[in-house]
Amino acid sequence: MKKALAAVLLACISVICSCNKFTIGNETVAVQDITVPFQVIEFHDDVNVRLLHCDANHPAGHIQIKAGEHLINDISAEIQKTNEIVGHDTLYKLIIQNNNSGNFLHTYDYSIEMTVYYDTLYSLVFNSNAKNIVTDTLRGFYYPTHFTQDTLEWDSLAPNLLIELDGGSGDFNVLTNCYRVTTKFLHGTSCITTKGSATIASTFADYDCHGIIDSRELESHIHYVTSYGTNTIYAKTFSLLKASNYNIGRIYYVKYDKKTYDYIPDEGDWGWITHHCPEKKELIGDNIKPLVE
Amino acid sequence: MKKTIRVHIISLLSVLLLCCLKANGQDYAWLSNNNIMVEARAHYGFFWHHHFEMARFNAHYPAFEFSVYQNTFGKREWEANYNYPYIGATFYHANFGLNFEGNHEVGKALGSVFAIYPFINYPLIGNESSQFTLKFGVGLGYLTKCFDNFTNYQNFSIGSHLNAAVNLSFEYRQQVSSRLKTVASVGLTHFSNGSTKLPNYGLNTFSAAFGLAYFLRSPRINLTPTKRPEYKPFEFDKKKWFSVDLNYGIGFKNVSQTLGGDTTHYYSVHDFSTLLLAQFTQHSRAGIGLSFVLDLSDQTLPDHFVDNEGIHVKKEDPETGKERVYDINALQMTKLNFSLCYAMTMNRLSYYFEFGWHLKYNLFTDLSKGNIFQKVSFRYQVYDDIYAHLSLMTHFGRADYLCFGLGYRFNQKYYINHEKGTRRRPPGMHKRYLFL
Repeated sequence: MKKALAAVLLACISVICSCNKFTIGNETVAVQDITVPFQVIEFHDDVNVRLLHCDANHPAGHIQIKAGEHLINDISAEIQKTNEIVGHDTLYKLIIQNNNSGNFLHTYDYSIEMTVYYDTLYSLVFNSNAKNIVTDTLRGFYYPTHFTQDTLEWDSLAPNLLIELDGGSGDFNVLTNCYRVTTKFLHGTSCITTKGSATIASTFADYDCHGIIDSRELESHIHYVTSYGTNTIYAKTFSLLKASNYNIGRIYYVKYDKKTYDYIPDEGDWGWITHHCPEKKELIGDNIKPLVE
Repeated sequence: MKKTIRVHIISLLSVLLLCCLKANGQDYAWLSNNNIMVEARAHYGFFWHHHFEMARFNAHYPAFEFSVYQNTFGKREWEANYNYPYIGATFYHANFGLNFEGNHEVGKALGSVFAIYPFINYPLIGNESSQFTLKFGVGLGYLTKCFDNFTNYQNFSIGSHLNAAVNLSFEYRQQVSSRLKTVASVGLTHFSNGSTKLPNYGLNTFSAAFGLAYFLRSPRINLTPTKRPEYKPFEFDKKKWFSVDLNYGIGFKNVSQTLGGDTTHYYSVHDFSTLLLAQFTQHSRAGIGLSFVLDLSDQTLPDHFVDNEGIHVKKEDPETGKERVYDINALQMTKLNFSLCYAMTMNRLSYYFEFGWHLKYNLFTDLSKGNIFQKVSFRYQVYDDIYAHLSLMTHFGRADYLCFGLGYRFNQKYYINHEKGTRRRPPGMHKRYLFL
């Protein structure tokens, strides 16, 4: 019995002694320069990121990390080649991660701050619990696009920005000014706020979405909203809203133009639209409504 | 905050003291005959996020528990076989907002929890003065905050206030005096509603604890097992037996918070199962199972919709490869399951552990939660052959449904007692076994 006790105690002591993560250490700054141009950024874990457009002093790919000295070595920003090719360009993505483990051993009262300088961005993929990810004005990425959204069809060489939320519970603020902004909320409890302007905005929320998509400050001409989630979506548009709600989530819209149209499905008239999924209308109720501030 | 902790500790100690002081002669006799102990324990732990989204609420916080239990002494045979376990009930309280990191979001989203659960604590190694034990408890917990898709959407761990509370702890007990013991433990406390109301990913807390346990009267000397006068059919009589168990269980699910629908409507889940089990030690049985599960909440899944004409499913036609709408009835959604089963028996109470596979026998079998499942059941033999059960179906830790019901056991002996050269029924058996 005593031998067993001694063995357990020794094992515990050796584990404890080998671990230096009882404190996060003093705050330290590390600098990293990535030379490969990247167009996609994937955000993971709890790294608070600030995206700034590159300038003369800070070239694209310049990264600053601020964190406790016991944590900073395991915070990574790595480049990976994607399978996606836009035009003749292969896209590269920057993956931001916090690989520290055993975090329960030290205090949770800390933050990891990162500043990333970029040149052109096509896509932001959030899978993060960071409480603050803020962007400078994102201009999107130019590539030829063929739009076939319902009856509207045209080809365009336009700057596009794709925002994808694939998990996590972070708070994200994206400021943008480009032709088309697409927000795809696939999973998680994050809260994303998009601001700025876009000619076309598309918002999609999947079944397992519980967070908020707030586009009240994104001024768009046309806004498509499709929601299968239980979450709340705010949309603002000048001339056209097409909203389809397939679940109990709510879609609130802000009408920038005072003129209001009714939807006449058979005649294909476009205007302010409240479009329910006909099969589940009884389950869902009237959850698309104007926002009363 | 520190003041609050102090108040909690003082309250617990006061209760402990009152229990010691307020007892009359009859109580003393009862306490003395039953080896009753009281215990107060203080925890310090952390919230373990098994879903990445919940990492937002990472924090360390204290918890408190108070237990009343019996240190068994061999009054029944199984007590001696399990090395005199401790049996009792624990009251547990944790305030998730009372964390030392100042993460105020935790309190706002998760609130606090009050739980009460019966437990059994098995001694693993050691003797009465110094021993390692394993505590296992299941009961009810009340969480002050739960998921709301508009006001508390970031807490998608728990969809209801009332939940099951499960505790699993490894403990070390050291005797200080004849009646006082110190207890140190590390353990997991889990809260889940068994998917009765979605979302239900569950809340987990890991904690280390230290406490004091006190015998209210001088402890009894453990009795050694004696020869049993009679075996009941659900007990092992050292002969070889197999049994066929037939169960029916019913459960209820509210999926409105995730898949839409009426927030007050609960869909029923019907679970018919049969188990073929052979007994191979005094407390262990193992075998295989086959079950049919009709989960009516499946009709709210994506690509399913219901109208006056019935249930419709949008699926890809395997022949043409194109999507088409099928009209189906509820029976076509029934899942067929095969499982391997292990059972552990303690007198009338048994634990059943199943590991199984959903068999896809038609196009409409929903395998979106995975095709491998685990099922845990608690059974209580109400009569010799009739039992009540409570079962939890999970897919790798993610609860699917909780059901309760009744079952009937057909016992069959296949062992011939060659020593006496005759087939004989064990004492206490029902007449219908006479044909053996």
